[in-house]
Amino acid sequence: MDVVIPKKDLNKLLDRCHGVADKKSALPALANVLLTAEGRSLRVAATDLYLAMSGSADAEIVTGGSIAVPAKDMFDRVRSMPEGPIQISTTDGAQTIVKAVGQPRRFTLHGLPGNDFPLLPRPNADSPALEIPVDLLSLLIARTHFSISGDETRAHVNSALFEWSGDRVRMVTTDGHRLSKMEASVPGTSATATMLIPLKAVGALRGLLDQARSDKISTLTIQQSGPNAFFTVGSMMFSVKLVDAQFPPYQQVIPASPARTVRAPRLPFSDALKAIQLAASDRTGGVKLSLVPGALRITSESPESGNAFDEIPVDYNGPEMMIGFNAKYFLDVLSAIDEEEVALGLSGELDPAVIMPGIESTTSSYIAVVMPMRI
Amino acid sequence: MPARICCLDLDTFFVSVERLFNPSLVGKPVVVGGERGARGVVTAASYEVRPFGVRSGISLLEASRLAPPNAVFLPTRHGAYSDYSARVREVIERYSPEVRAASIDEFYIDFAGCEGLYRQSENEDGDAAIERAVRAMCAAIRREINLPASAGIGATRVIAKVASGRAKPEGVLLVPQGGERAFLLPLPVRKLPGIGPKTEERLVADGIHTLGDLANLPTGPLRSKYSRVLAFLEREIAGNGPVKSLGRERPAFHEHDPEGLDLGSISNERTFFSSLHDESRVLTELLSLAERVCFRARKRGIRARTVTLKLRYSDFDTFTRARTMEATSDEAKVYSAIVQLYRVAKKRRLPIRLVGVGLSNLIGPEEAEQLSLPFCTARPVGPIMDEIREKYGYESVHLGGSAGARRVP
Repeated sequence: MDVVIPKKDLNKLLDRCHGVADKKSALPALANVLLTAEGRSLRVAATDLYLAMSGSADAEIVTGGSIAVPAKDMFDRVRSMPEGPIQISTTDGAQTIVKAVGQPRRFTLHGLPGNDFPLLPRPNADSPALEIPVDLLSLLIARTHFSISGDETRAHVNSALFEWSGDRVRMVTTDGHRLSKMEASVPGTSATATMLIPLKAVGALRGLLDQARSDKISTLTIQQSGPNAFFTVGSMMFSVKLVDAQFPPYQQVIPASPARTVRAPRLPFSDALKAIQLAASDRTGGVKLSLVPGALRITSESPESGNAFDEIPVDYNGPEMMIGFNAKYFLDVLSAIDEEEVALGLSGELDPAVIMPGIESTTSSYIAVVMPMRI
Repeated sequence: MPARICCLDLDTFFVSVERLFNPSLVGKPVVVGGERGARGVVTAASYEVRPFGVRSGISLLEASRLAPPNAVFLPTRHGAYSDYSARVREVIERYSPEVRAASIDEFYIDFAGCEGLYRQSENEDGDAAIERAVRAMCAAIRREINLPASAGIGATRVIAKVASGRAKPEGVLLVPQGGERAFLLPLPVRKLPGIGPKTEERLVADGIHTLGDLANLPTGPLRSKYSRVLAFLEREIAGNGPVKSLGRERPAFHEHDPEGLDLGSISNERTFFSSLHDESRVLTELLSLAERVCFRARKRGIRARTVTLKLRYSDFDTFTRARTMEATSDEAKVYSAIVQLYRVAKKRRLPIRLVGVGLSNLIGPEEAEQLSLPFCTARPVGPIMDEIREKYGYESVHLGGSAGARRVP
């Protein structure tokens, strides 16, 4: 193989792919990225057998062929290259030379023959392709990803639920203590799909979507085929083996109508929480929210770290009440939404609280449910 | 001050306890472990069946074949034996404050410095005084609990242990200081703890039958072949063994921090009389231990963030694996973490000799508790069992999956 490709194009492909490669796998090939020079483009691919990312860019192919090189090493070396064309050439022994054209900087990497790399899954030709705006899928993920459970042993919540019914798409995540649900309409579409996308894939998908947005690509295609889902955006294709499990029945834990709802300015609320959190126990992050007429008080009391007090004005006029919460759960939600005002719905001190944007939208709806702490 | 360690061993312990329950078994051949022909292993065999080749550790099937037709086969009585073990310990503690249970029927007692207490005259030899005290101790165990016990006394745990074996049944043997050589050398090699059947086979094949043969090997290849076991033997002969102290408390059922005075940790472990081959048995025991540690945690109103699994293979290779998670005192969560740790940690095909479950990184009742979303409205089973146990005792109720596990003393 002998190819020449602009550094920025190669760097972008490697940036997407190297995170998917599995450095700790029992199969050493999986720690590599596969480079394939064919026709007039260079294709870069990586997989951990659950996720697979691939993409291609125009390149000058002197000799075609394929080689697998260590993902992280290749990414670091290409990133350190001066701007301009980069030449990648291989020898018979799978030695790979990465060289800045017209410059003295060069690296040699020990690769594997391209044939040693596993085949990446492909969607069936007849599986339907759903189109979704890149911005919309980004928004669904941005408002829900933080409440995915990090517990890999509980696959059904270590993933995001993505549902498509009619012209509505929905993403729901929970870690057992809190839940976020974002839904929106995709005008002009009609589809039915349910997917459980594992946490690691959600992370890779976010990176892919961010890049698509900076590349000004507006639409993404989703195909469900066999156990996999395929996301295609521009020249990149990302596939994930979906989680085969039952997501918890989320509707039943979303309170229908909280006993009291107050509106609070989002940024002052989040500033106050951040400040009071400083005094909260490191282990639990617990702070107390109290509603008094006209104000929402945020306090923390701890024998070790002392006390903290703040309040923000709210439109409340009912009896006093106090509930303990993990401040982080609120902060995650407050930083995921961008409306100026939030609606906070509270019932009893052991009942779930809900947070919603202050203004209801006709095309989308968002709700976060947070369970209190017994303080 | 010379070390004076006593090893007290309860003779055919399970059989002896069974004979307390049913005196007509005295003098009859008795096998404890299960019914004739059942699955499982022999946990104790009376002296009357031993000439037939029946001993603890062999399978019940094999025992059924070997034992005479009049032999009585009894199931293992969970729990009861531990009560008797605890009563024996109470008697021992009247004679010396330094006692360690090495297993349910074996105790190490340090008598160093106690000579003065037991001397009958100023000039009496210290060893003689201790030997008399140990005889009195064994007699008290016979008189008060009606269990036969044998004891060995020596400078190290190994000497004491070997001596207690030679003292059986119901005897006391003291190896005087300087007498270790004369005591050990005539013994068959297998009598030295640490020489197992495999090493014995090799030694015998090399013509080494007694510890004397071993100690007197001339310098040469054979001597260097057995240099490790020789070094061990020579230290013992010098009364200078590596295990001079009593060793750690190692009863069959080990409960760490039973008083629960601080937040430190809570753990339970079990040693098996015969190592477990069967994975489902190991999992049953792990569930039973998870049940126990969760019960103890809830009793103290605490939850744990770290769950630890301890495993010991039959070759004594021991290790622990831990996982930190959301604070819990729920059996289901602890057990599921333990099973995951076990699946990753159990790499060798050897049977398991000891399992343990520990809770640490404990969170007290005053610490804030994060509530969970009400996906599942069923009440967790733990607190319900607690209410039943409050009235009827710990053994009154158990999770179905732990049926068949060894019981808490």
